[in-house]
Amino acid sequence: MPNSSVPPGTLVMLVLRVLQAGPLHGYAIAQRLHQLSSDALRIEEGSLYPALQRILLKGWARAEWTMSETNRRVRLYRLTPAGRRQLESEMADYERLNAAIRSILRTA
Amino acid sequence: MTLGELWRRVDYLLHRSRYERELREEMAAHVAMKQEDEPRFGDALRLREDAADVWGWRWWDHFVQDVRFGVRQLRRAPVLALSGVVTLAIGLGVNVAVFQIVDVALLRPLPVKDPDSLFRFVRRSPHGMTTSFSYRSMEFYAERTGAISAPMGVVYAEVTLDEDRTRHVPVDFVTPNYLTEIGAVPVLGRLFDPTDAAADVVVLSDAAWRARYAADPAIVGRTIHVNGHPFTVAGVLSPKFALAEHQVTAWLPIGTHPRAFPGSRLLTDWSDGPVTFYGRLSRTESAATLKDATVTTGRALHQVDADAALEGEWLEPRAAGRLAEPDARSAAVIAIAGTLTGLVLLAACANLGTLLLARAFTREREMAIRLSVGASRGRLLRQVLTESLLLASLGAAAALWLGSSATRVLLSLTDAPAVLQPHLDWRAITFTAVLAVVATFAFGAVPALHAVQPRLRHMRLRGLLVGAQVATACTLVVLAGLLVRALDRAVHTSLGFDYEHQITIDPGLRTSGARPADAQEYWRRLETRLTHIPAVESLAVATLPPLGHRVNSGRLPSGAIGIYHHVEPSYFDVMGISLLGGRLFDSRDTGTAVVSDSFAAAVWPGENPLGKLHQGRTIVGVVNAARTVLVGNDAAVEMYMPIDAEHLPDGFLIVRVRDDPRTMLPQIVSAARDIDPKILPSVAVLSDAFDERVQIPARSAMVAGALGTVALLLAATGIAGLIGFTTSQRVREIGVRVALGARPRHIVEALVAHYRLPVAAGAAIGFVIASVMAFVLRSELFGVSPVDPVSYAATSALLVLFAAAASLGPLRRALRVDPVTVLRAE
Repeated sequence: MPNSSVPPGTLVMLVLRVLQAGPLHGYAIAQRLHQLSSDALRIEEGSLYPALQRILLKGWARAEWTMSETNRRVRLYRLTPAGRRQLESEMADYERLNAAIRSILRTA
Repeated sequence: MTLGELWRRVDYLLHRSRYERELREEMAAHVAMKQEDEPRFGDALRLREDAADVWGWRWWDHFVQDVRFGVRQLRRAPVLALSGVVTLAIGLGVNVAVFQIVDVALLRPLPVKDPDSLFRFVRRSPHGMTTSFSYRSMEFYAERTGAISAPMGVVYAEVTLDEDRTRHVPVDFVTPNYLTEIGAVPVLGRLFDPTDAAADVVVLSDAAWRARYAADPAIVGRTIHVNGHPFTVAGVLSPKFALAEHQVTAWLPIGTHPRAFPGSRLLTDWSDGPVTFYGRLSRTESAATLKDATVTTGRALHQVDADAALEGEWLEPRAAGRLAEPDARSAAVIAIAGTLTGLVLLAACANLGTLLLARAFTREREMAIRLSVGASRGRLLRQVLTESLLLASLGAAAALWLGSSATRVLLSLTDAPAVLQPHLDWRAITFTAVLAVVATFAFGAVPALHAVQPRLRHMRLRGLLVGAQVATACTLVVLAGLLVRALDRAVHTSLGFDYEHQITIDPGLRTSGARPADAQEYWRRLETRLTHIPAVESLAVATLPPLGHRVNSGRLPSGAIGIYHHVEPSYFDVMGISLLGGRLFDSRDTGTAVVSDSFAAAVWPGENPLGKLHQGRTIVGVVNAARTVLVGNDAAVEMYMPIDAEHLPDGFLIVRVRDDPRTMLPQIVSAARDIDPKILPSVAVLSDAFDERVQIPARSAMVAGALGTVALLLAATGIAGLIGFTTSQRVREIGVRVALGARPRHIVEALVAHYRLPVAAGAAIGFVIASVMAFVLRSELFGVSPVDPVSYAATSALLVLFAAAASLGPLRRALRVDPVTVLRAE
């Protein structure tokens, strides 16, 4: 069975990225990440909720309660300006790291 | 961590239940939305806890848990908890008391305006020092010394108020700027202004206004009589003010002194006056720059009037914004007090340590279970320390109460001004908290060590605990013993003179401006009048009141302190001091003197003092050694010179009576009052002065005795507890020994063997500390040696007695061990 967990340290960035398109609730975030990765990644609740609490703690997103389309009370996470800045800087960092790793893998 | 994040963390802690509920609901929604084919949601509780950990409050949860658990533990062992709290309350409380007293006396500035720039000036010369000025020389300095701003003069005096002509109350005659300059404010009326320099106005203290004038709201403008002279009340001073170390009833302008004391030459005399000189110095001024600035003024003053200034005199500033100057002497007192109370705390910690060690032993199983179900050693350690901290917090709270009460009682025994009452401020609380934390680590180390290293037997630790308690107890008991012996000596051994049958009369002639001729006349009339009273045996004028606070002394080359009296020839008869050799001087003698045998031994060791010269006088007689002034200091030796006319205004009269001096008092008072209606002498029974003088060793002995008893009890219960603990630990071994034929002697031997060395070492250390402290205190010991063998032997005996009595119970229990029962239980 192929490894379907998210590389360590990147989950917060991925969550912030899917929230960039608009506010989502916890289950939708997990679903979205699963779909966007073409079913390659599965987000465990055990890591999703600590990541969401961390995002709240850092002030990168705000949570609000609304009714979903299935008429269920859900908690939406909405990106804050600080969250946007954090996403940009994390993505830039990730790009740099990724490029470095790739160049090593290609040439070594 | 950013500020926003910190704020959100705190918000989380405050609204925790809401955060948790939201997370729970959110997860529930998540579970409900899950599809059939997805993996099942994990353990919800575990997931919630992990998520909540992000907020970083887990340590707090643990702390709260530990506190709750600790409270339960204390409740389960109420006797242990109570004795722990009491032990700590005493150990910490004595430290709180000392802290508050030091705080009041030294650290906290007096309630005056800008205390740090306020100074009192003393006159210094290469040959000596004096603290008082004549009014004119004070003015002379004030006008010519630019560095001193706001010069103030204060003259202390005792006067009668209104019709009450029998009791004297303390007042200050002050320059008009004094009250406003030190920041005092009136509660009624006004203070002095510059035009009041010689106006007949008076400012009353709040206490006097309430006590004497029933807090009369219309007091301002009323006329009251000071020494019979009318003064108008200008105002009443707020009680939130004090500069003087004594409490004063009223303040009067210095210019009115001649009217309150008819004949006073305070304002005109150049020579020695009673003025205390205060003023302000800017922060950059120092003793050295003031010396440079005033040494020429001093020379000029000396030229104006040779008696006005010492030769080569200059001014030296003394900080006046605090009750006592933080000098070497007060540092020594603090060091001694701090060491004693620190020792009591150490004893309390050691005692508590032994209690908790026994308890840790009974909890070994609990700890083992906790470890085996997954608690980390760190967590266990934290829990045990939290329990100790809990005990310490309760103890600290009790100590704050106990210490403050003790301070209040102690201060009420002295005549400290009311504004100096201690109050529980944040400094005292911080001090107590810090000390409590230190104590927690001291006594808490024992159960903590046991929790993480339960297999260690801690024999050395037990030795340390016993040693510390014994050392403390020995130090305190030896000191208490020395002080009790000093007190005993003060009361029962001769001071070399008689104080049971004398009355002293102090008319304060110098204050009233009497010249030598006036004084001579006054004394002649008073003595004639008193000799007609049948019960009066003899009387003498002298310059230094026995057991009084006036001293005229100089250090002798041998290190002894020479006390110089000017007395009438009858002095020796009045005081009951007997002639040992040579002769006494008579009233016609001038260049002669009599010394005590101790004085002779200090100045001419091994030689015959008769015929020798000292300070230009021929020694004609030797009398028995008396300590009339510095009674507690056996380094004080006395010399007596015939009183000359110049010293008569400084004199006071000692009257020896046949009957109880107390019953004689009214007769003597009225006789003395009749001589001169302007002069109102204060009359006192000498034995009262003695009683007051022995208060110092009596109180010190009381305090040291109380501390010593506490330490002794702590040590005894500590040792008993440890022996009991050892017994229960070794009950099997004892059973085996008894089964193999051990005699009771052997069992006791085996149980106490480990404690012999710590007890001996502790006692030795205690004795060394005690002798060092006693050496520092020796001037209060009335000649008792700092290594007085009686005190040390008595302490050793007392310690052995207490320890033996306390150990009796546990040892008897050990001897009752039944080998059959014990071995069956195996």
